[in-house]
Amino acid sequence: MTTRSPNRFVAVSAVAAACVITGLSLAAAPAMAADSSTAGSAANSGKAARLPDGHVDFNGTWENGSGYDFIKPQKGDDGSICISGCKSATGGPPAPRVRVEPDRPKYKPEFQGKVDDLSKRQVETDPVLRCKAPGLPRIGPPDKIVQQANQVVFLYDDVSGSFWRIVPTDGRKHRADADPSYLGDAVGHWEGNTLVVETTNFNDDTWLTDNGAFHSDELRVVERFTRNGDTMEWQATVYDPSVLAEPWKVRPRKATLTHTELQEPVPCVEQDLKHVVDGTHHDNPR
Amino acid sequence: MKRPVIRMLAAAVLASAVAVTISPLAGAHHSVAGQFDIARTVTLSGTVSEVHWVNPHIYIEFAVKTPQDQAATWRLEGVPVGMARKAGLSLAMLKGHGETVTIVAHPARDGTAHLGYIIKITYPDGKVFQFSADPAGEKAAG
Repeated sequence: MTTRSPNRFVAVSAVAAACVITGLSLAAAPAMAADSSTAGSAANSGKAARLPDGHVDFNGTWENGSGYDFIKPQKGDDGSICISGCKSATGGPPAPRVRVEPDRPKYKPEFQGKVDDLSKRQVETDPVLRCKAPGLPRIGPPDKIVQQANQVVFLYDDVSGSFWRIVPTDGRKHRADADPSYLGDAVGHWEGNTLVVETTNFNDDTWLTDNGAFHSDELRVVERFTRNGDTMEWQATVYDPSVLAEPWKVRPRKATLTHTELQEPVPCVEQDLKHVVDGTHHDNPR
Repeated sequence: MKRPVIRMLAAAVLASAVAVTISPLAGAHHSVAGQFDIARTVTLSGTVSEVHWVNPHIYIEFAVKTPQDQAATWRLEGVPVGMARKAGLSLAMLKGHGETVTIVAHPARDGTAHLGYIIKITYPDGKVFQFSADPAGEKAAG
């Protein structure tokens, strides 16, 4: 992986697309160029860096594991690379994979059967396995954030594709002219040092998690972003009162500011599913 | 007695040509298990003819020279691009320079010929790119 200084802006097509669409133009460059200085000072102080408008600065590329927490890559002196199933540091067998208890929403009793059925047939029913956008909150925290005074742009480098979300923070209401979509329509506001993003207007082609957790068109997701030094915490709460028994407060995830810049997205070309022999559940980590 | 001996010889030749190792892979990715036989491995030697640098999984077209009964262009699946990049593995590194390499892979469960999932790639200089748990390595280490 090429490691670049955040000061050296590399043309990432998703960034470029977002800039073109949002009219960010080159005005975004100074904000991104500020990453390195803010990262260093924030890391030392433990406080969150701020932009001139006084808001906490979330600009930067954020390493959140992309859900691959079980991947522990190793590099050898001879150029060898081990991505998964690597031997332990002492040369012994790979350490057993630690499985974290799944974080799941609670459904009304009459809908649990549908969730179970979709989950049982996940290989044939999961939209993500067909290169569709994961939706919220399944996509998790963004991999890069471009922040201006009036809007925040989230960029995602996901296994099922690269996606972006534009989040106005200037007080405007949700759009009335947009079709329902995979990542919905977002608006943001500040509550002190917390960036709060509310998203609605989703289509019905996404799941909340990998286990058949479908949702209705009433889905509303509220994400809360906080920063402490070079660590960002992302937490989402899911409201879908027509199918969920209660709001689902998603287990928080942390991301750390990284100098490893995103690279150009690659196409997502599904070519496996016709060869899957049984309904073995895809062990998707999210 | 003659036929059983021939059968045994044939089995031995097959076993040497296609090294099959039975080993549980407790930590294996479940989707791999749904598509590939993680209880078996095949060892192939040849050259990388093309790399499809795509998600959700990288695919390599691998021109197999030996064993001769497996000589064909295999399609070998690997990890997602994001995982490779995070580990420092690039498209250019996977493409290589036409050198003959050895790839250990899990064969397809559905019987599709010349389709597999990469466990590891070993280069002439001894360098190894490992994509998933190596049953032989686990056995040796254990």
